[in-house]
Amino acid sequence: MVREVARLGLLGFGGVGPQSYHLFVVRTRWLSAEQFAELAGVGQALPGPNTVNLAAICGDRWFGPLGALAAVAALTVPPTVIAIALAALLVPIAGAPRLVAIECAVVAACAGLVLATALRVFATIALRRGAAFALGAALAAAITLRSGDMPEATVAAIALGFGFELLATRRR
Amino acid sequence: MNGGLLLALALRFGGLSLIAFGGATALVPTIHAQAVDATHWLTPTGFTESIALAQAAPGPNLLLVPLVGWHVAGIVGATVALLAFLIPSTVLAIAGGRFLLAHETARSVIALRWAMRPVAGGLMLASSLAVFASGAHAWPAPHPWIAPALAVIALLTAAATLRWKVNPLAWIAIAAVLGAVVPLR
Repeated sequence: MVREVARLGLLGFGGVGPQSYHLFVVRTRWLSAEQFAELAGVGQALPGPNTVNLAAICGDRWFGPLGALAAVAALTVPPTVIAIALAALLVPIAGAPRLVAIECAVVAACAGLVLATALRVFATIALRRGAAFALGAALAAAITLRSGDMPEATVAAIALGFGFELLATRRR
Repeated sequence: MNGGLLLALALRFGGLSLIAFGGATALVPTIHAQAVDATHWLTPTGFTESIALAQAAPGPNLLLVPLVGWHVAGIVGATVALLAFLIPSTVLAIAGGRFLLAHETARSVIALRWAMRPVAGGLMLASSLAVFASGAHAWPAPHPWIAPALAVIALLTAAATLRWKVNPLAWIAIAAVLGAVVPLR
């Protein structure tokens, strides 16, 4: 499991979510498509990186807490080593205008990737409920206007959304 | 090694761990506010570089966290930041995973899962803006057309990502080439 999960971490660029389905369901058949949907859903519902949560939940299910630890380490440590090695390589030319220009262009593309992910998330809820859409948009606006540092808004938004959902399901 | 600094690193990222709905990607505005504005652990340009590296390296979307730790206190800092960011959410994932899977049909569990989505979406929307601002402000030769040009790159990347299923590294590589050839004055 450690070998396969480490491979997953090193193969995925821009997040490993899409590849995790391939690993768990197609390549190793460790999970059925339904099991994957269920476990990945739990991983997404809890805070923390989604695929790391998924790896922890699967590792715990199959091998207990130590299995979870091994899966999380296998997923996160090798990419971290690579990222820091890259950062160390760039130290001698840090701040060089051409390097910064490349980084800025790459960061602009990153903003586009994150925007696409946000729109995909909203697409799955906007169909379901307008109030949820408004809640997410309001949170985004609040964080942007207050330039970032507001964990309390995140907690409040989850509490609000939770309340909405309970009320909405009661009516049905 | 400065113990107080490492403790501050651990406390900040440990706190972020439990509000990271949507992963580290969703926390860019918060990490920027803490690591650049509040503590000056990184310069704005260092932060931009860390975002670019986190995206260009393979792996889950959390590499920004150890990279910030590395800027603060080298390898030890990276280790502390990564552990602090992963331990609380992983413990919760194991405990929560066991609970949620045992009570899968409970109404409140389903409500909780739906409640997370707009929050994750909102956090990512704010992150997208923060990532963009970080890149636009760090541009080495200020010019009135830079922000619009970078916005075009961002919007085209978003549109292309939603339209085609291509490895996102392709869009990153195209952007890097554009950054490498554009005149700097």
